[in-house]
Amino acid sequence: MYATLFFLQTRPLTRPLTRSYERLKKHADREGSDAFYRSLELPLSHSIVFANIVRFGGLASNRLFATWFTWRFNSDNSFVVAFTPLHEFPDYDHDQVQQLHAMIDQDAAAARAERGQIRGFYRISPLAPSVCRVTYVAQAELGGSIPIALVNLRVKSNLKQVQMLQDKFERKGKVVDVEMRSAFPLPPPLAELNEEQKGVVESCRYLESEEGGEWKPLPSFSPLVDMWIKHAPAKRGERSIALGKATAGESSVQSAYLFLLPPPPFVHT
Amino acid sequence: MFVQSVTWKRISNTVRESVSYFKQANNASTASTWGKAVATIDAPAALVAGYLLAFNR
Repeated sequence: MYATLFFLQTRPLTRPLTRSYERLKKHADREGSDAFYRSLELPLSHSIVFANIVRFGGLASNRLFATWFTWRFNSDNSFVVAFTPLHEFPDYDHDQVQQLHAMIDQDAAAARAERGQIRGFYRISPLAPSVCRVTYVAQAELGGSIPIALVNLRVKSNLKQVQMLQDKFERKGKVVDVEMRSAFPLPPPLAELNEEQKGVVESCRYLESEEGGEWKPLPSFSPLVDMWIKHAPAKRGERSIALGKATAGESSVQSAYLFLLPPPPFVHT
Repeated sequence: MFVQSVTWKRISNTVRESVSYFKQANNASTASTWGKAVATIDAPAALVAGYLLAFNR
C-alpha cells in the first residue's frame, strides 16, 4: 500500500499517470466505438476533467456528462475519490477546462446532446494492509424528460463499477481471511481497562464460577447445539449482565448422529 | 441534498450478491436518483484509488 501511496504522492504532477485506457475501452464497448469520450489531466492538481456521451437508444436522446474528478488522502489512511459536474470546478477559465469545452463544441453529437450531471464519491477505507472497503455513492441527474425506469437502470449499471473493482482484484478467500484475522486488533490487557470495563470482566468471572448460579437452557436454533444462559442479579442503577454459552454436548452428539444417520434400506415384502 | 439526509433501501434482487446495493428510499424527484454500493475489495486502498484514477483517464 505504502509503495503505491508513495508513488501517488511523489510523482511529478506535470507528467501524466500511465493511462489504462480501460474506461475508454469499456465506454467504446458499451456506447459504440464512435461515442464521444475526452479526458484531460489538470497539471499540478489531483484533478481530471472528462466528458462522455451516454446513449439511451431510441427511448431517449443521448446525454453528455462533463465531469470533474478529484481525490484526497485522509488522516485515517482512507482515500476519497470524488466527482461532480464540470460547471462546479472553481476555475472556469482553467486551460484544460476551456480545452474540454472546445472539444465538446467541436463534436457535433456532443454539442447537441442533452446535458446530464453525475456527482458522488468513492470512499476507500483500509481493513487490512491488502484489503479495503469501497463505498460508492453516486447521483445522476439525466435532465430533459426520460422514463424513470431508464434512470433506475442507469443508476444500477453505474453502481456495478464496484463489482468491476471486486472482480478486478479478487483473490483467494482463504488468503484474504488470514490477512483480515491478522489485522484484527488484539483485546487490551486487563491492566489497561477502565473501572467500568473491569467491573464487566469481574461480573463475567463471577457468572463463570459455580457461585454465579445455575445455567438455564435456551431454545437452540439447531438440534446439534445446546444453548444456555446465566444472569447476574442486577443491582439498582447498575447494568444487567448475562453470560451465554453454546455447546455441542453429549446430547448434541447423539442428535447429530441421529440427524446424519442414513435412512433404513427399503425392504421388499 | 446532502448525502447524510438520504435513507437507503436495499435494491431488490441484489441481496445475494457480494456487493451491497442501495437506492435512495425517500426520492421525490424522478430525474435524480442516489445510489450506493458497498463492497470489500481484496487489494490495498492505495492500489484501488490509483486504479480508479488511471481508469478514468
